[in-house]
This record gives sequence, structure tokens and C-alpha cells, in this order.
Amino acid sequence: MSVAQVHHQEGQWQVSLKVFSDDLERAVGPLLDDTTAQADSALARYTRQHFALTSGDRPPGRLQYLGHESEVNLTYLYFYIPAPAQPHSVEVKHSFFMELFDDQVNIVNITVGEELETAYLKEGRPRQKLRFNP
Amino acid sequence: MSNFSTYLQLGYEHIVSFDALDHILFIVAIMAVYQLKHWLRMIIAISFFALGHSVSLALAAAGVVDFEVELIEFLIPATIVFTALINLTKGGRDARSRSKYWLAGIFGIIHGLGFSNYYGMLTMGESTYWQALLPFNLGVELGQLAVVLVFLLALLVYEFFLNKKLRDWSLFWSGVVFGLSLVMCIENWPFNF
Repeated sequence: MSVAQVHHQEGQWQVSLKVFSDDLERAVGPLLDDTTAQADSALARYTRQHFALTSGDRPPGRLQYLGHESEVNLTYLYFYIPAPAQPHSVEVKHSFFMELFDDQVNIVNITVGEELETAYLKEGRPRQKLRFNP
Repeated sequence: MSNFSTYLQLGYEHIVSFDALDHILFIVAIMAVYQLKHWLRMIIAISFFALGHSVSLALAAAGVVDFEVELIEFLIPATIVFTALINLTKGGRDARSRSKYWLAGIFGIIHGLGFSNYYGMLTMGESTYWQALLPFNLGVELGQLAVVLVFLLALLVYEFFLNKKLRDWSLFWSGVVFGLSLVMCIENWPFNF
């Protein structure tokens, strides 16, 4: 399971993604003992492969990875993706760990202005389109 | 999809799944000693179990839950083995006994602690207690209700079409639950000897 918070701000999707550290290490190897630079490079690669936000007809914006933080058994990943000024809809792809676990569930909470919409993604359905009222 | 219904669905699917077998087995162990005419007692017992969960939820929300996951994962099937064994005693078989309620409540706290990992995961940003934990827990309770209804249906078929002997019914289910949960205990043995 994982939970992501996405805020639409300053023409960007600003994302913080919370995952279980064990799952992350299983997916990308024992990175968290490595130096941060090495860990971040592998984490950025995995994140670009498994997370995307596509707004309307625009091509998907390139994910800019910022870094990660670990606490006890949880790890937070931070990144942003370019977004239109006023998105009416967004397609969320979040397939983290679905290649590892049949029962993986990923929740993505997206806030645009005052509006909050949630995507519930699991194995077999890693993408979902959300609509926002202008 | 709204935030509330997502977490509600998450909680529900968390129980109505093969991965939640321990939870389902405990509910079966609690219900195994009752007949259809004891439906109210069943509801009370399951409500005590739900109450136990809610205590764990409150402890988690207050940030005071800090137990070894390995120990909890062993204690959960251990409570099921214990409940199945209690069902074999004269007192345990007595559907009028109120001790089942307390057993369900106290063991409910232990089962709820098994979710503490999820509590940490679910709370994030705006998704705090009311937005995430409350609907998740409500979904868990709805899932339990679904398990109860299926079990009641099976009991209905048994009582009306197959047999009237509650003792056979109780022994059968207690045996099934005992065997499966004993295997879980062994698989989750946390001690190094």
C-alpha cells in the first residue's frame, strides 16, 4: 500500500508519496543504506517508470525528482511534474510495487484549489482519470 | 471518487479478502457457539470486537501505539487458537455466558493493533483522522458485517436443512479455526528458541 498527496500549485503537480520502506527496498534494492546520491538516482528512475500525471491532451510532463526522507518503517519521496494552469482533468498512473504484490493498493489524493479528488489504484487498474470543476 | 468512499472501500477490502483470514477466523470462532435464536448475543459479541478495534484506533490516533509488529502478528493467531479452545469447554459453549463479550473486546484490541502499520500509512497531509482513519475503520466494520452475514446464512442452512445439533456445528468450526490459526501461530513464531 502507498498514499500520495498531490497539490496543484504554481503550474506544477507537487507530489509527496509515502511508501513502506520494506516495499521500496524490495523494488529497488537495499538503497537506503547507500549514499543518498546513489539511492536517489535509483529512486528517481523507479518513480519515473511507475508514476505519471497527464493533464488533458498534453504529453506527460517530465517528472522532476527532488529527494527522499525515511522515518522508522516509512519512506517519503518528493517530486513535481509540470501541470497546466487550470487543469480540468488528470490521468493518474501509479503502479508502484504492483509488479511485486498482487494485492498492492495505491491511493492518490489530488487537490486543485479547494477541490480534493482521490484515485484508488490496484493491480490490473494502475491508471484512473479524475475530473475537476473549474 | 471521494476521499471518504476510497478509505471506506480500502477498509472493507482489507477484511473481505483471503489476506484477512485471521480476522475472519476470529469472527467465526466467536460466532461458532451461537444458534440463530442467539442473534442478538452474536451482534453484541461482534460489537465488542469492533469496540476493541476502536480502542486500538484511538490509541493509534493518539500516537501511543508502539508494539513489535512480529509480536502482534503472533498474538493475533494466538488469540484465535485460544478462543477456539475455549469453545470446547463447558463455559465457552454456553451461549448465555457474557465472558465471550469481554474476550471479543480484549482480543479486538490486539487485532486492531495489527492495523497500526496502516494507520501510520493512511494519515498524511489533509488525510488525517476524520478523512482517512475513520472511514477506513468503518469499512473494516462493514467487512466484518459481511462476514457475519455469510456465516449466519450458513448457520441458517445448517439449522433448517441439515442438522439441529449445535454441538456438531460448534465443534466443526472450532476445529477448522483451531487448525488454521495454529499453523499461523507457528508461521509467525517470534521467539528464538
